[in-house]
Amino acid sequence: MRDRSNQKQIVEFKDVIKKYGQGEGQQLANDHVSFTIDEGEFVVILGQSGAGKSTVLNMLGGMDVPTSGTVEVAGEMVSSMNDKQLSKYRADVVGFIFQFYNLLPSLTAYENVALVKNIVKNAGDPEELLKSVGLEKHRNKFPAQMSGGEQQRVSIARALAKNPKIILGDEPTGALDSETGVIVLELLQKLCWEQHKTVILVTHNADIAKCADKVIRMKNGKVREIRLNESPVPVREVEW
Amino acid sequence: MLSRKMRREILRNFGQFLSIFILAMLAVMLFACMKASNVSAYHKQKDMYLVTNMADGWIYGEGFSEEALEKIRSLKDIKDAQRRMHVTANAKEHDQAQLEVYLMDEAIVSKPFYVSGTEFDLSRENAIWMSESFANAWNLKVGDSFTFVYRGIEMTKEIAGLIVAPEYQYMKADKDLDVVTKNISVIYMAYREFPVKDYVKSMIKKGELTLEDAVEHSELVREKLEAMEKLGIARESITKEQLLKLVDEISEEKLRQMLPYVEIIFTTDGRNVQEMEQEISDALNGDYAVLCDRDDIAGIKVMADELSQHDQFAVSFPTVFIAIALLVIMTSMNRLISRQRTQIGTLRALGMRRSKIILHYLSYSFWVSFLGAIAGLILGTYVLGDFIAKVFRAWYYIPGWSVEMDGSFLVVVVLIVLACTGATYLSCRKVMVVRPAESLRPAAPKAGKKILCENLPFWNRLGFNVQYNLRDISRGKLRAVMGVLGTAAGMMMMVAAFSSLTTIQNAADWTFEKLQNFKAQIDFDGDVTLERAQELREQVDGELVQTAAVELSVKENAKSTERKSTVLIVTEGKNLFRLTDEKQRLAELTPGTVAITKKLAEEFDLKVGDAIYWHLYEKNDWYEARIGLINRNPNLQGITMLREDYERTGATYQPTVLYTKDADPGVDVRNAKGVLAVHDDADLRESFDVMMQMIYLVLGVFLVFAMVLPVVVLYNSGNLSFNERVKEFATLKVLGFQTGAIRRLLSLQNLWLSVIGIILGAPFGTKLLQFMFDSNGDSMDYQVMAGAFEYFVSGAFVLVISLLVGFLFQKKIRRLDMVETLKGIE
Repeated sequence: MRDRSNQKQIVEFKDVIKKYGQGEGQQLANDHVSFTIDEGEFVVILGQSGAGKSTVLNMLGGMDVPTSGTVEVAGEMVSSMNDKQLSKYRADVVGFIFQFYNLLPSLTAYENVALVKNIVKNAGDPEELLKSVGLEKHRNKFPAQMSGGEQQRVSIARALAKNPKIILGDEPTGALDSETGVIVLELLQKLCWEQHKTVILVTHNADIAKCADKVIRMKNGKVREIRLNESPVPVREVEW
Repeated sequence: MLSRKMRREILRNFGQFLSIFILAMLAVMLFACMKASNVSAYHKQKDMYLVTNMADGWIYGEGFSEEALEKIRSLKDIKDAQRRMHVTANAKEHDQAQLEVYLMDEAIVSKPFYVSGTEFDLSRENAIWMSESFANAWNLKVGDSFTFVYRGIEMTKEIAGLIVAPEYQYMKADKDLDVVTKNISVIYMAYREFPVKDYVKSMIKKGELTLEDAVEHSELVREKLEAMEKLGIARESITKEQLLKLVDEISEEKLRQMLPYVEIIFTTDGRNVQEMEQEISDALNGDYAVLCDRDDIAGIKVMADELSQHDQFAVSFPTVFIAIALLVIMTSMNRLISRQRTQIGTLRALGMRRSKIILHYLSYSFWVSFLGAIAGLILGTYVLGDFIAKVFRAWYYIPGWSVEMDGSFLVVVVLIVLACTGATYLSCRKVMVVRPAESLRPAAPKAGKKILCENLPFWNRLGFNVQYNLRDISRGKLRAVMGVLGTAAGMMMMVAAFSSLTTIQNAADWTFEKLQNFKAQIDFDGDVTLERAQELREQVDGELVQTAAVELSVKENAKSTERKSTVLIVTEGKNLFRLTDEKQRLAELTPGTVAITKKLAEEFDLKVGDAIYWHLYEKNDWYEARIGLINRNPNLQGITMLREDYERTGATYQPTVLYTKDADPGVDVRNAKGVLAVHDDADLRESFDVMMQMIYLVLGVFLVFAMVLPVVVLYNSGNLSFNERVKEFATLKVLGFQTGAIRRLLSLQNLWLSVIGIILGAPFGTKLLQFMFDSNGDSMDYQVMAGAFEYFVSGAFVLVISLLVGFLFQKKIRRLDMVETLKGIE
């Protein structure tokens, strides 16, 4: 059992509504969504396609703003930030991991991680970070020369380079085979358990929920269930 | 990191960025090559004006006294002034080259520009200073003796120095159609070096100077005559011999009154010369013929016209290239940025500032256009510009003329780079307004909608290729516009280049088959008498023609600003020197009327029946004439009248040329007294060809640029089209389409765009050419001719380029990796 006593709240999602489009074509992506997340938690937002989970993640990541309601992360009211403040927030607070890795194809693994130096002042050492994800030998490879798992690990190294307060993952294993997916998840769980990073993943894979401290289940844009997992399972122990 | 990303992506999209590079380079290159020689010319001209104290104004008249000069000097805004005498002499040998001889006793204004030998020094005896160009053409050196003849008086002087005359930046002999350096020189010498006594005596012997003339010109002669009359010798009884004896007794210095100063040249403190006309007229009691400023001096004006033409080209042609470059940039960057949509989303998700991302994408076109502009600047200035300056130095004389840059070069580079970068900003902005979360996802495909063509009743009968390409054009309108405008500009330049050959051929036929109904032209020297000229005319059965400089106006005694300096041609109406109307048809001059050339008629808004006023340049009397014909001549603008009408004004007929149908008038005519030179048909045609060389040069450059333009835009348009449709082509390949079939699909669209471009660009070709010929100055009036052949050849040329560009994609299509492309991996 993980000891999570005395942990501070880092995320508060309060009565958030998000609508897309206008008139008849308007879609309700998030409908009065509320939840909180504590520092150092490994959180999985679970739901089927169209449940509104990616919308939640985008708002957490400062890439989208709610139609109403508030989003507070690390003491900052993200929902009322302007464009400039949002850029700074994304640079300083959040590390993003994408389903399709989103590496810049014309930069090598090393350069993709080192790119962060152009964004934040105290970026981590790209060599060290690549080593931490086991890719030190692939530093000069371009994304097209690496497997999906390797690319995703570069993506994690890039997210970590900013030393973010929270790491957000949008289906980070969605494009990977199960074995590679385990390696990636293990890395994320390690970050949470050993380095006390807050990790929030969005997935439709219910098996991943077994590894999480908190599971937020969504359906049709609403939060259906928030469940605390007293004894999260190490990734390796889950039967995938 | 971002700079590495930029470099790699530029290399990956090499074709498109190369197009931008080339267009930016060509635009700056065209500007620089036209401007660099101009900047240097203006600079060196200014230096020469400073050193020589170049005149701002010229007053011509029948003779100016010391008092007249002092009055001019005392005017408020006059800085310096001096008098000088100008005569046109001929070399004794050296093909009897034309010599513009300036005699002076002080050198304050418009001094010769020293090149080598000794500096201009009026105290030096027996010395002349000669044009460097002429000396070089005849291999004459400082220290050599040179003999020349003026009205039968032979003078042999030592060449003391070689110079450039600031008023003769352009000079051609009267007998030449264009510059032939060995046929003309300017000579400066001290007035006292002119053997005035010999001259006066020679004139008396020839009967050209009578007692009355002598009395009129010399107070001393009058005094002597009065003394003789007191002694009982009647004026009527004085013989030629007595007159010669009388002249002998007068000193050279006193006799100079017989050869008066006909020019006053002056500098002002910056005031416009024409504004001073009233004050000058009052100072001289109206006793002068013409007041000119620098714009009226042919040797300066032709040069100024040439430089002004270059200035116009330097702006107009690069504008075409820049317009095309902007289209290429916008289409290329639109595509690049839309392909990088998710990358932009990622960078924004990582927290990169919007401004930084925009700067990153702006840097693509910034660097490419900047490097292109710098390459264009260097190549345009130091390669092409230097070549142009070298070519023009054969026509114009400005010491030290080479190539130089000025602030305008920086402005053009900055403008071009800013325009290219600005075009990229427009492309960037579209993606930047999208929220990062949205830009992480690929853009939603454009909603499929019917295009206008689908409403055509025969749409369903159109083949797959046609329907496919029509839809594609509707999807990429900007790309299509770029293709059309690029080929239109290429077609325009190509039509201009090809039509120029026809136009010049037409001008040659017009001149030699219609206007010149003669086989040889006999030039008279300044000494020929009317009787001698008429004897020669009888000998060769020819027609005498007088050409003279005149001023023209629609008002009698008009102000200088309302006058126009031009040429008067007086013919005997024997139809050897012919006229053509505005449509190049032969036309006759009605007795009692004058013909005026079309350009002049348009300038003064004149039509047949209107009155015009003219006066000979060196005389003050104005005459009225009625326009009977508006004629057109490619190389000679002015008014033409019949001898009988000219003589009716009381003016003396002084033929300058004799035309004959006899191609070889014989040695006795060539060597006859009064004959300066004889040119046969071949000589005249050669002279015409020399004149056209410069035009061929400009058009040769044109043709090269005209070929580059369609290649660049069509390749770029094809490349964009290929990349936008690469997945579709991969699908077609999977379906079993052959490489050739896909290439044809791609080429078809380029072919359409080319055809539209050809149709749109064709009419502007002749307009461009007319603009080029018109900017050549007032003396030329070329009628641009373009027939079906020129349009066909130009159009075929563009189409062939279009087809060849299609083949550039053959390899790309063959190597298209269907699996990878359809997986969406870049």
